[in-house]
Amino acid sequence: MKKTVKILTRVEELLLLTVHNLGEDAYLVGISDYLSELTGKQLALPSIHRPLDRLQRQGLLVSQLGEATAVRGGRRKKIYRITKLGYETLNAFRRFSNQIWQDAVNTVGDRNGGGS
Amino acid sequence: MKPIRPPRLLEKLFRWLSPPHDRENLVGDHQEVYHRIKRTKGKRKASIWYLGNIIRMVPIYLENEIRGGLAMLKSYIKIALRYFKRYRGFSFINLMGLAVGMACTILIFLWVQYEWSFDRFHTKAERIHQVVYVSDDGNVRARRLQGPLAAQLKAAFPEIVDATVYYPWRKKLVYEGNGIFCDGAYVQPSFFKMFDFPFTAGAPERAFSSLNSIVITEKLACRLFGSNDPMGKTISYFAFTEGIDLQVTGVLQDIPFCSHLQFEFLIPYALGPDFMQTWNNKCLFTYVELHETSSQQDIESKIIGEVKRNRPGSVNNLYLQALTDIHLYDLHGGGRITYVYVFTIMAVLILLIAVINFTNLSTARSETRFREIGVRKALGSVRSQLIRQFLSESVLMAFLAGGVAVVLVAGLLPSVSRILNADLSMPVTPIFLAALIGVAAGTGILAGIYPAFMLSGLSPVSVLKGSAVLRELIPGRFGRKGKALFRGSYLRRGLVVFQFTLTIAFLIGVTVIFRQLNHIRRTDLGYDQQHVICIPLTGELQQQVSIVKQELLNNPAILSATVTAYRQEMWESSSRDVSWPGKASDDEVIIGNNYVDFDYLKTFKMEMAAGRFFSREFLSEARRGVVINEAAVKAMGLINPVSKILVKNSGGQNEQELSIIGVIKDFNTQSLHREIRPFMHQVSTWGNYLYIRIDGQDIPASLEFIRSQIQEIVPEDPVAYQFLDERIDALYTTESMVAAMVRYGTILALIIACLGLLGLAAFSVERRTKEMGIRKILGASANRLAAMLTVDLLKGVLWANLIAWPIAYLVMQQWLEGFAYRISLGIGTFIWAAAVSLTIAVLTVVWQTIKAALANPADTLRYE
Repeated sequence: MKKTVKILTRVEELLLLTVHNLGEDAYLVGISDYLSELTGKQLALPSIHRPLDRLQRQGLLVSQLGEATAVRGGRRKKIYRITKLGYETLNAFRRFSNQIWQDAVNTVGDRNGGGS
Repeated sequence: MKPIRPPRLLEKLFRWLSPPHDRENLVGDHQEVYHRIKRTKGKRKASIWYLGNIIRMVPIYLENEIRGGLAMLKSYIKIALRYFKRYRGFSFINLMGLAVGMACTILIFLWVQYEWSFDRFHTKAERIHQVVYVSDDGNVRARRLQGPLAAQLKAAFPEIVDATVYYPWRKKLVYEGNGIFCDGAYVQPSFFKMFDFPFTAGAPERAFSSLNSIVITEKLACRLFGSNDPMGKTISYFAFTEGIDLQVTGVLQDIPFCSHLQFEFLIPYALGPDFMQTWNNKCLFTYVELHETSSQQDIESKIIGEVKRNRPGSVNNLYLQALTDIHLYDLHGGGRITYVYVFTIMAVLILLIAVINFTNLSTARSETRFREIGVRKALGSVRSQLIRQFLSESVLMAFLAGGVAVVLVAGLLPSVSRILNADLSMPVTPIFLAALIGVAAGTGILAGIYPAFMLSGLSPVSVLKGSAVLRELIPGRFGRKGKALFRGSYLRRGLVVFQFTLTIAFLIGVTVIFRQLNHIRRTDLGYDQQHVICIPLTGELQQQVSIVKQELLNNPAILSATVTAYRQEMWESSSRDVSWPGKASDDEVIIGNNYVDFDYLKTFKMEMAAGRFFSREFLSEARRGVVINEAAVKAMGLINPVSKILVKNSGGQNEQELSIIGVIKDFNTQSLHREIRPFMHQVSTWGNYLYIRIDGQDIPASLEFIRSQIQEIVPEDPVAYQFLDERIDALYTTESMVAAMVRYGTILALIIACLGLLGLAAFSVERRTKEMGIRKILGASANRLAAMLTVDLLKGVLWANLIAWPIAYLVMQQWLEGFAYRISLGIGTFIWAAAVSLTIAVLTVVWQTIKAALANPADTLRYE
């Protein structure tokens, strides 16, 4: 039996990759800043927190509490990390996307080649 | 650097909305960003940003609430199921009690809904009324009116859009030599415009466009023509001897049960015999459709004297009854509506008994949960959580019970429909399902609320100490908590008393209804209804009836036979105005009029009070003679009635002078709800019914003989016969139905109440285990202990009797008022109800008490 691919949403995919890229800085504000810088658009914290929370419930992310700074009123950061399952899912999803893209390109080629 | 905090109120709000597991870091994250925005863009911008995020938190908050709620619910249900599993017997009793109560309630509500649905399927139902009349003195109200009235009303009043007569008649239809008797009716073409009986073939506008038409139902079409197309076929219709050919011009869908108009075929009123077409005879039902803008009162005030205008000397005033009220409301007040209300109340009460029961059993078994509550409380559960837990348990139980109830209802529905003679069905509509869920949830909450509050209020220390609990349950001396619990036990007792009060009241009700129905069966009707067979006469048979009669009397098993124009057991004969010499001008007597032959008196074994009956030896006297009943003598105020003159007004100039030759002893011509009315008989050998008295030795043989004799003379006619006593029973179908419903309701209430008592017994016995042990050690015998416990428990039932008696007395007295002939309510019924309730109560508790009394004190006192 073929293993089913868990289909991630675009936001989930972006968040997983961001968490991976940021490493120790992968807490809510850090993630938000990173994505905002890339997209040029300010992202609301609750809208990021919600998919992060869901990814954590699904076991693709784990979290641990980090340092507490004065600017946070002494409250600790929650730092996310990708799990093994998270990496596997991300890889499978990437292969799957690539496949679809590849097929799409081929189809376009066929159409053009077909002439009519 | 001092951190810049967002406004306190906003932060609080945010904190409250954020999910508990991420609360701290989320608040921190937001403060961090707030700090940053405030420094770069100012306080205002930062606050707006914060507020925006608070709004964004709302859906997250809701999602978490629901998820958390579901998780808790899952755990509650798991624990509840474990508990059910552990105390299987108890939970089963509890569940069944609730399920049976709910099933009963659902059934009754289905019936109530069915009764309400009568005649409402017509789109013009709200605007259609039946024209009925009331005599000037208000004593006589009836529905049958003169034939021409309908057309007259329609022509005279623009507010009356349409009108039709309706004359139901059971007559013979013949198709290709096959004759069958069917219930049909004469109607006018506007009938199809007013009522929505859907056509499967033909069209309402053209159904009666030619005179010789007949419209039949699908069922009848199937009986007459099988699978052939009925349209255009010719059927012979036999109102009298001569058949007339009618063409099928329409086929109707079968008439739904919930219509008070029931027929298999319709034929035009214009074909009706003369007696239907005159102002002299009140025999037809009249329906009118009012204009949308006109009100009932308005039109009533206009039509009130319409009969008097057309028929001087009439004493009747017209008024209207709404179509949708005909089935439920008698013209004289009351009717089925009373039973609809009574049973609605009964349904609610039975459900209440079941709920009380659940409460009682749950609290009685609460000791099994003390430890769980203690542990939960010690581990930090707050009271509201415990309440929620117990409530979800009882709601879960109620839903399970609701499921069982639906299965029970589905299983019982066919037989209940048969008993109630109704077409009940369980509608799977959203409203019904919503109502069901609502009832289940409501029942669960109501049943669970008391145990939930009581159990959650216990102090963790005492419940965990175990033995301390018992001390808490002993009244008074041990502080406030003990008192509260003791009050609880009063409440429980009160509830059991309440349950038994209702049950005993039902019990008395059922007894009274049965006694009254028996009374009716045994009441001397003034004639002997046993072993009398009734055969309706039509067509050839009606013509040959004297020969048939002769042939029948050759058999010694046939004692006598008589031909009558109208039925013996029902007031269906036409009413006449009469006058007599010496009549005061304002006296009015409406008198029933029947035509009978010479053997009438003998066949029904009736007796004369004065004079003599019609006799073949005095033919000329008989022709001009009339025999009246005692009620008529009284109504007319005659002193020596025999040989007095009586003038029968057949309307207008048409008067007939008769001489009274005899007075017949009073007999009942209708159901015993009513008094005997004035009645007169004239002689005629022609009639619509043949009544045959057989000796009853060998009924099947006699029936076969009658059938074969009739077949010999009129071979093509089917023979339809009925026993007179069965027809008389049919007059009381409503009462029999009510008796059946109340009986089953009472049995259920009794079972449920006994379950409640069982719960109470179990609880009080458990509570007093140690007391019993000590008493035993001090020398009390097991017998005395059992007796003591039993008497203690029965006190409640005795109280319930005392409360139930006056209530039941008042209600049943009211019911009996509806009968002109009724039993008196003696003390016997009440004592009987008391005896039954006490006996059943003793049987319920005796096992518990004996068990407690026999217990070895060494076991019960071991822990102290």
